[in-house]
Amino acid sequence: MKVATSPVRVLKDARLEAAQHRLRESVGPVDTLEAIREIVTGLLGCEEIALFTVDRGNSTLFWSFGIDPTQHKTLDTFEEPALQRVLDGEFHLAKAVGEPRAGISNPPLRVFVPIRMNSRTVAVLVMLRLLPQKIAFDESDIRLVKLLSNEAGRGVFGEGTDSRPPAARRNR
Amino acid sequence: MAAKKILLVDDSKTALMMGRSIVERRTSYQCLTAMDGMEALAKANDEHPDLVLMDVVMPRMNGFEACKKMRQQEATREIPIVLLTTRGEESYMEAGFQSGCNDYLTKPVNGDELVKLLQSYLGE
Repeated sequence: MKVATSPVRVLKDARLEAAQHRLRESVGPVDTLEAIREIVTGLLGCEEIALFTVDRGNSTLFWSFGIDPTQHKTLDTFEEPALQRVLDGEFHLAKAVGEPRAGISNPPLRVFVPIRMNSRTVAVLVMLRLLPQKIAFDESDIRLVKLLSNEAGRGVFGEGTDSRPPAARRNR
Repeated sequence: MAAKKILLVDDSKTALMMGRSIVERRTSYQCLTAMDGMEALAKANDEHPDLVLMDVVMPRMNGFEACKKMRQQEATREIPIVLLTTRGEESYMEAGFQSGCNDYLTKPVNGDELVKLLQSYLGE
C-alpha cells in the first residue's frame, strides 16, 4: 500500500536527508565547513556564521562566514547568559542584539549550537542573525540543528583531520 | 510522452541534493543539475528543460547574467526561469525580474510555495 505524503513533509524530510548526505559525504575539514555553510545559509537561513572551539572554559574563533572575525574572537563577545547550557550540550535560540535592520521591526533570531563529539562539546556554532524572512524556528529546523550538533564535528575535528583553523592551514 | 525536465542550478551541493530529492519524490519530471550559470546555459541549450530553477549568487556566471543570456538566445528564450536566493530585498527582486525571470523565491525554501510553483508551470 502506498502511503500519501504531504508536500510539506516531503520537503522537510528532503532538507534533513540532503544535509545528512552532504555532511557524511564531505571529505576533510574544508569540505565539511563548506557543507556546514551550505546547510546554515541555504536550509536554515543565516548568512552570518561563526564556529568556536572550546576547551576548559576557553573559546577561540576557528572559522567564520559573513562576519568581521575581529569582532568575535571568542564566545564571550556575545555575552549570552545561556552559554553554559550550550556548553553542556543544549542548543539555544535567542533574540540577536545590535544594529537594527532597515524596515525590520522584530529583532532577528540568533542560534547557538553545541558541536558534540564523544559526549563532549568540542565547539559551538553560532548563527548570528537569521535572515529577515526567517521569522520562526520549527521542528524541522530543530532536527537540522541536532544533526549539525551530532555530526558536523567529526569531519572538522575528528581523528586524522587537520584541526588547525582554515586560515592557519592556508598560511602554511 | 517524454518526461518534463527541470534544470536545477546551484553551487551548493546541499541545495542540489534537496532539490533533486523533492523533484524525484513528488513528480515524474526528469531532473538535471548545473553548478553555475555557464554550465546552466550549456545544459539549457543542449537539453531544452521545461523549467529552470536557479540560484543567483554563483561563481563564473551568476543567476542574473545566466537569465539574461537565456532570454537572448532563441533556443532558451521561452523557458520559464525561477530565481532562488537568500536576498529578499525589493531592489534585488527587481533586478531579478529585469534579468528576465518569471518568478523569484527566497531561501530557505518554503515547501508549499515550491511544490505549488512547480505544479503551476508543469502541471501535476
